[in-house]
Amino acid sequence: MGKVKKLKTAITIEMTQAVRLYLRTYQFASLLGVCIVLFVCGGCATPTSNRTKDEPQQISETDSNQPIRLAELDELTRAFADRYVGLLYSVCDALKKDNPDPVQRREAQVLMVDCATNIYDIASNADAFTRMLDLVVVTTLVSQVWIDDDRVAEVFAGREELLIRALHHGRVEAWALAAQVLRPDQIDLLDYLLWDWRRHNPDMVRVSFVRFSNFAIGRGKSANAEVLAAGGFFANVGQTGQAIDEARLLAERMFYMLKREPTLLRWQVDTLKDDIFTALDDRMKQTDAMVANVRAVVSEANELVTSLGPTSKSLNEMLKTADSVFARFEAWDRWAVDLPGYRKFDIREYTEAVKELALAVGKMNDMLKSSNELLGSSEWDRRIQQVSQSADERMKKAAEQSQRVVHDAFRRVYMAIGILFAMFILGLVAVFLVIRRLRTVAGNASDAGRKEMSK
Amino acid sequence: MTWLHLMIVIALVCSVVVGCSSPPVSGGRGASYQVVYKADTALPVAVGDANDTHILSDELPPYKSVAGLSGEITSIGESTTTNLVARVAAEFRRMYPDVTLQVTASPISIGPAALLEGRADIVPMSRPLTPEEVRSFAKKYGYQPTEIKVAADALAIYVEKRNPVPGLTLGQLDGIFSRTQHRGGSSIENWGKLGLAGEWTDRKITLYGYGPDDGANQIFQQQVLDGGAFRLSLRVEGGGSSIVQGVAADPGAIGFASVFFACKRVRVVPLAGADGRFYVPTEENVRSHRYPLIRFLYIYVNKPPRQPLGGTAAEFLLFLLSREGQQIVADGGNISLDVATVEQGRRTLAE
Repeated sequence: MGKVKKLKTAITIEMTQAVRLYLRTYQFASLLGVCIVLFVCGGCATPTSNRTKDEPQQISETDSNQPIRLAELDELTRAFADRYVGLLYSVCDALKKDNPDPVQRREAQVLMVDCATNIYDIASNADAFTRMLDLVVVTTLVSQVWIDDDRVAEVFAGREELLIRALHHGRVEAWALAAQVLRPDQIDLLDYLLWDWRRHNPDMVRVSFVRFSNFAIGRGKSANAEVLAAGGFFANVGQTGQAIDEARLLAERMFYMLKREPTLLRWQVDTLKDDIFTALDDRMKQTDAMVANVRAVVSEANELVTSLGPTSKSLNEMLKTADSVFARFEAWDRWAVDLPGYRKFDIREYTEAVKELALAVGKMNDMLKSSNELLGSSEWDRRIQQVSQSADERMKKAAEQSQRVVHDAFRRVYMAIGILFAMFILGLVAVFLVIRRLRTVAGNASDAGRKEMSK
Repeated sequence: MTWLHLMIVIALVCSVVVGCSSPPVSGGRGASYQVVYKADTALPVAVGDANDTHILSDELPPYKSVAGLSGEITSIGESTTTNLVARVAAEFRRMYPDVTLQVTASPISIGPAALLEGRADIVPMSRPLTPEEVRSFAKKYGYQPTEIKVAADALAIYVEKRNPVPGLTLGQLDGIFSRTQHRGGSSIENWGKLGLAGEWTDRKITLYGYGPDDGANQIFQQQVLDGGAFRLSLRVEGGGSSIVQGVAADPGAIGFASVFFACKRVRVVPLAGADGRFYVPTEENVRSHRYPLIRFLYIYVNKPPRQPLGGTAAEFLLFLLSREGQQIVADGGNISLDVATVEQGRRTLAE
């Protein structure tokens, strides 16, 4: 995630570098370009025309009394994820609408993007139960930060009610979803765990990146998780979660860049859009060079993914084995309400099942770790470092250049204002002189007239 | 000509920037709340500072570890107290690596059953056993289960931070939360009936609280509603944190939950004590019982009369009833016991 951020920052800053090229001169065309970009950005920050209501869209309540099957939980969690993101989108849109405060607009945008990214990340998780827990964790922590800690009043003073209602509504629905799977005492425990985590991490504002595994296997990070694990609470879940997470991480590392490829492409399109606005003269060539630089970063990322070719075979084998284990796990029928002997989901039973699963996954991990071709190989790390280093260098360079851009821009604004003021004074003087001249002429004419009259 | 264009463009940019930073025209949502009290509204002065927490008595006895302790402890009980037990258990296991602790949270009714059936060595509870549960135990074993208080807690009354209600009596709470009003008061359904004026007069009161299976709900029902019934409009939340956020998100809301779930967007309402003065739930006011809505967290064990509780479970409880154990209680957000209650618990174990 950090490397993608670096890439994003690098690309963004290099886009500003392109703008800088046109600011270097005082030509009218360049300044006109800047004006257009400013107006376009302003337009981007305003809500879309089809969004007319200030109210967040409502999410329907779920029935918390009916046990649900895995397939249903699967559907419900994904549907909730979509609704939650939609809810945030409409609220953040309303927060930005007619909002003159750029900080509020930016915070609304960041909140939406952070939450949407993480909610979709959670929604793409393979396991419905983990997905449900992660959704509860994220919606709860986000609402705690904004509502309980009253950050909403600090950031969106005067507009906070809308966000409070939306975030609380999202949290309520997430817990209603959890109530279909967990017992009341488990709900109570989870509620306490999240509150306690927040109590121990009061300064963390961007909490949408936190997952349930932080509580289940967060040993050394959360005293509460340590205590619960030591006391037998979630201990098996924790161990299993750790083993599953390790196996899953190997696969996710492969798909990491692929999943983010659309975002990178979108950034490229944005860059090209900027090209259209700014490519008014022969400096297009220089811009192209910069775009090529950006593409180099993307290309390296793609290369990174394709370099996995030799390892993918082993990975596929591993995933096949994992599938069979997971299939056995699913075949345990803990969700099948229509089968004889059905019981509502019990976390202890779950832990027993995943304990068995953990052993199988652990063996798989041992096999994977012993292979040099796999993702944990030094080659992979080397490539990761290369991309990271490359992004770092570009970021550094772009940051220096962007600073110069800012300084140049301000200097020019000051100069322009000074010139404007001087011209204003000159204009006044000129007007004054003209008026005096006219009065003199008029006076002379009047004198001449009087002389004519006296004659 | 070029300079003229330059100046026009800069003037345009400046006007755009200046326009963006100007204040909004409409006041709309940011309107501040003006509180107007009726002339006959008494303004109680609350005793205590709500931020004054985690005061541990120096007189609590320190724990003296024993050599070679080993064995297994099974704990099955209600989730709130089990959280506390699990915290203490982690530290206990660090001291005694050969001790195995099986800690399981369960619905509140499961713990007493486990004690009755001998499946648990210790049973954490957030309310005392009911007479029926005690009778069942006594019928089987011929003596009553042993009750040990391990921590204190206060049920705080929360309102949204802008709510100006200065304080409440238990009678008023009964009128707010109960549909039966066993205390004899009248039904209170909006804030105007509590003396608030202005925009609060007609604002409807919304209620937040625990479900019927929770110990806090049962305590509140006994101590506030005098055994009466909650209003059907009570919005039941899964845990204390959810209750408090429900209140934080609703200007007309009032809710009850443990005092340690307090947050910035809510206000803890002072309650009238037996002496008629208003108290906030500080540790001091809880220990002195001046704050009216307090409860204890308990651990129940199966101990025959005049036979000291021995073994690993007894050592665990002694640790819990020590300075170190009570420090963990305080760190976990609960209120540690006073010296007298700790000594009473230790004597009960030894008798």
